Amino acid sequence: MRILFLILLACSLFAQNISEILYSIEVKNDLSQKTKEENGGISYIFTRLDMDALQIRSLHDILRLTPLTEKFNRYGLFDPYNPDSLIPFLSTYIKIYLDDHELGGVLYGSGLAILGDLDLGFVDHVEVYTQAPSLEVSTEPSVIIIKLYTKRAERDGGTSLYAQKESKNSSLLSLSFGKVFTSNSLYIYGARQKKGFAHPLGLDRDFRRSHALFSLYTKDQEFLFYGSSHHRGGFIGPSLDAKPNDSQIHTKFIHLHYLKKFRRFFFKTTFENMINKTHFSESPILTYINRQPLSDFATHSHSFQATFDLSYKYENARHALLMGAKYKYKHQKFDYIKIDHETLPPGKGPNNQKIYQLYAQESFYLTPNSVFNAGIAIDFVKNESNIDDYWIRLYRLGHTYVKDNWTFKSNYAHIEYHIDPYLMNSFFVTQPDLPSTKIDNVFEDIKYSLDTNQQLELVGGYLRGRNYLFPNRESKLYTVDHALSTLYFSFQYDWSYRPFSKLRTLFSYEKIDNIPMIGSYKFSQCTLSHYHPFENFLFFEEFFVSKFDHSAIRSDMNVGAKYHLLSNLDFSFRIDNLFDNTYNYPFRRIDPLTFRPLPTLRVPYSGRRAMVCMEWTF
Amino acid sequence: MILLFVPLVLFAHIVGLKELVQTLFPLLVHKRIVKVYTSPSFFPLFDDNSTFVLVEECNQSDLVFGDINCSKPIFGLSYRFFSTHPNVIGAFYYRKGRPQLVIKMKSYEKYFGHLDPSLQRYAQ
Repeated sequence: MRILFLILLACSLFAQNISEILYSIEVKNDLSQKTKEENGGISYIFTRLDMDALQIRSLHDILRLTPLTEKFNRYGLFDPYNPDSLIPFLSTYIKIYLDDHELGGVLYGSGLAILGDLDLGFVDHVEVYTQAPSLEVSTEPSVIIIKLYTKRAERDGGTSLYAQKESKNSSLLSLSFGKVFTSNSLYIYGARQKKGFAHPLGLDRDFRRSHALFSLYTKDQEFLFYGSSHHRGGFIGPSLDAKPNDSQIHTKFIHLHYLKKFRRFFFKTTFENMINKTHFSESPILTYINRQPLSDFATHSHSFQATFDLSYKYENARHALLMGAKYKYKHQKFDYIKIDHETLPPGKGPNNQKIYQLYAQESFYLTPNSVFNAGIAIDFVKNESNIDDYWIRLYRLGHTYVKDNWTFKSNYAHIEYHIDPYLMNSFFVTQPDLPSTKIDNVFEDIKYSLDTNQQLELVGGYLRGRNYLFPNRESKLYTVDHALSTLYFSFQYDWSYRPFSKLRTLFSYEKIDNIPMIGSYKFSQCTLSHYHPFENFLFFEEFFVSKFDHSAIRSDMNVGAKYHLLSNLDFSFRIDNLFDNTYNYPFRRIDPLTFRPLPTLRVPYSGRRAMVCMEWTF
Repeated sequence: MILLFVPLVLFAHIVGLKELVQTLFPLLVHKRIVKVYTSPSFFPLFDDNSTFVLVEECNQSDLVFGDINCSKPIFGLSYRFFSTHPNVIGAFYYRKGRPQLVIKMKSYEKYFGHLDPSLQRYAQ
């Protein structure tokens, strides 16, 4: 009996560790650990647990927790680099990837424009790479890469129903299904999303989106289809006084990609198609684009993009080699442009662009804890229009050194950008042939692990850009003669103080100099996110403090809790911007009759909102 | 006999599963050494001779590991098997992307009686 008692006692002592073992299984098998590119640059990782605990449901929720902002433009689209101009989108430096394939770059060169507020119900984890990531992360010219990795049936099998009801007439309903058969993994997702916002001056930027995803994975092949249809209020649009009569944007978008692995070769192909329809009107005749009087403006365009990429990867104890060739075809055509119901005569279009790219990257281990990294990508951009062909280049040099608890990353990158076809011959450029923007970036990243659960990270860098495309007073893009420079640094502290509990703080500062008409601009923000379990609840709190240039400091917080009722049924609630004190983005207004300035319109992205959600898996 | 072979193959690579079964199974069965019947893909999980004995017939086992049809108590590896098979006493599976451990009290008490208090939080 005594022996049996001792055995049971020993077993009981072991049993205390069951929850810790489960947590360790969760952490060790976290898919983000498999996709994270340590040598890829500065990264912000949101694991499945982070997304679950922080109730991250849209891409916007992610942007707020990184050094990026939720800044949107006059059309209501996320566009952090647009200085309140009439240009539809200016943040092509930010790219979105879905399972390592570029997503949504078909029209504006970046998926952020149409997918910035994307519902992430089909996403397992997210990685955000900033400051010119490595070619392993992306061979596209970019400063920021947002990588979304989709759910797989192995971990999200069965059927799941998710319903969310929000204030401001917003809601989300999604249904997903995952099944593993033989060695294949099938995942299907469909959702209807409706989001409402406050309507200052009657301005509408509400949107409705229906979207679906279908993915099929085998041992060496991946196939994914994503389709969406969205209808959104076009916010201010091209109106100078911010009082449009009607402002609408309809978008239909299809993305299809395929990956085949054979030994050390990877073949990737992506197809995207987008139909974009816009309508803006104002009465009486008071709407202006480039100060041309008009009352009604409508466009219908379609864009297509196809990418073929063949790469080769080789790795041994001393080397990691990546090399490949990529071909991208971009096509954009306005089916019509109507001004005051009169169709404009056909322009120079359609605008076709072919990009031929060769790339190579070598990582050489000087010692087992010191790796040197050099990458180059050369693009030949062939424009089938009246625009000259040209070459663009991308170089990257980096060194990563690991010693005990310290990690040092030093990096230099040179990036050049091409002009997207929709801007060629458009009324948004001062001349059809604009030289490509060139960016040089250096940074140092120092990480220190206090123990396995605590980590400090300090990043500092300097970015210098030449030939920046910038809108002039008529909102036409021109090339800035002088160089723009950006100084940035950030400090991050992560602490997983017990299983399922995590504290993350991030402070970031950015100063941009030599901005035309503005001079210099400073932006700093601090975010603190925290989640922790209690009984069957999982609570979270997020606290934000931001300071945009000379404006006052703003702070706000999000809070929420998830209640785990049954193993397959969860309820949650969440309140965003509890104090309703987020930054109000300024939008200039001009009286179209006198051209005198009107009081600036100030609008927050979201304002205070509450939501309740239910997720049932069966 | 194996109803769903695929989940077994997929779960075989989960890091930490060996540690879980080594700690959990003696507690479930109330024995220091547990006789286990499972599919060959899971043999590496039970190679610790001080805790497990692998048996060739399911009827000789204390516990069956995997989604395997047997008249003995079964520790399953999918929610569907857990919720449908009458002999399942517990299961480990992925739900909404995260690992789950559940114990079905009705079946468990039928085979093993009292559940260790430290495992109560996983009981259903």
